[in-house]
Amino acid sequence: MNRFLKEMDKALKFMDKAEREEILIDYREHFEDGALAGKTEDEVAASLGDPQQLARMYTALGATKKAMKSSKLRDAGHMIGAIAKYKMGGGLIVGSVYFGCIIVMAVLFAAAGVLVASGSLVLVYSGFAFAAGGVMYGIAGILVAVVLACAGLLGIVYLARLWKWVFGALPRFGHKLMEINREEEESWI
Amino acid sequence: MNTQFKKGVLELVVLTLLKRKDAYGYELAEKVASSIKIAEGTLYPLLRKLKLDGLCETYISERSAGPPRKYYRLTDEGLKRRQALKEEWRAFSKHVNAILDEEATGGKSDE
Repeated sequence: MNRFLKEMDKALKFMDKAEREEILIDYREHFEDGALAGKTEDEVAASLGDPQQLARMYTALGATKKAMKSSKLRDAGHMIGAIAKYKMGGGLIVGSVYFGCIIVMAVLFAAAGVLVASGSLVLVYSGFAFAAGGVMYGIAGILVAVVLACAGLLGIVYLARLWKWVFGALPRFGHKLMEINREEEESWI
Repeated sequence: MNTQFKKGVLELVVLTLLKRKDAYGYELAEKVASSIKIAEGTLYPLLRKLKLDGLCETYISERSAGPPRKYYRLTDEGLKRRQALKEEWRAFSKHVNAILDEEATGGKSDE
């Protein structure tokens, strides 16, 4: 293994072995073919570019692909970290979008929770109303409680679906972002 | 050349080269680098992305001379993608050319 391959191997250490091997084989063959064409190792290495940056590109690509297959926040976290290492600006943008979405979802979940909680409170109230002999108030209380609780529960069910959809779709955004390049000559895929 | 240009066009170029015939990395890199200035190392992440997206696949093949090589082959999905990109590119360049020609006939030279 020459210096380029060693550096790349080291920089890819967070990938699983089979994947890393598959990536390295391309570069190993490239060096072999370069040698057959009469080029020196240094010449081939120079034409390939920076092994560290290439490794970061692969890591970001792998993490993004993995996140696209799941809606787990942990995979998304890995993706954001990998994109940030590859391109700081990109990681910050994707990270902020995730942060914003999480906040909005949390607020919506909290609102649905408040609906369910206030439904329970109204139920307690109607219990007291029955005990005090206010049958009409009691029945009205139960109706209101049922409506509130149903709205809250329905909200939670749909929010869970929305959550899945949003965090399933966001990695696509990360993927798009990886394709955007402004300053670096060698950093597009 | 402008990097935004290259990024979009590179995928079309690679898919087109693979449509003509299966190829191994080095020969693709040489062909691409002869017309578009790129760091050759970035070709492989692109190939890997194409493979992960199901646009191409790989196989190992013996060659008449030299050690066995990893070859890239276009899938049907890749063929479709190439067609779409090609049409996009044709329409785009037609519009740009029309504007450039308009300028030329307007009496001003862009040289």
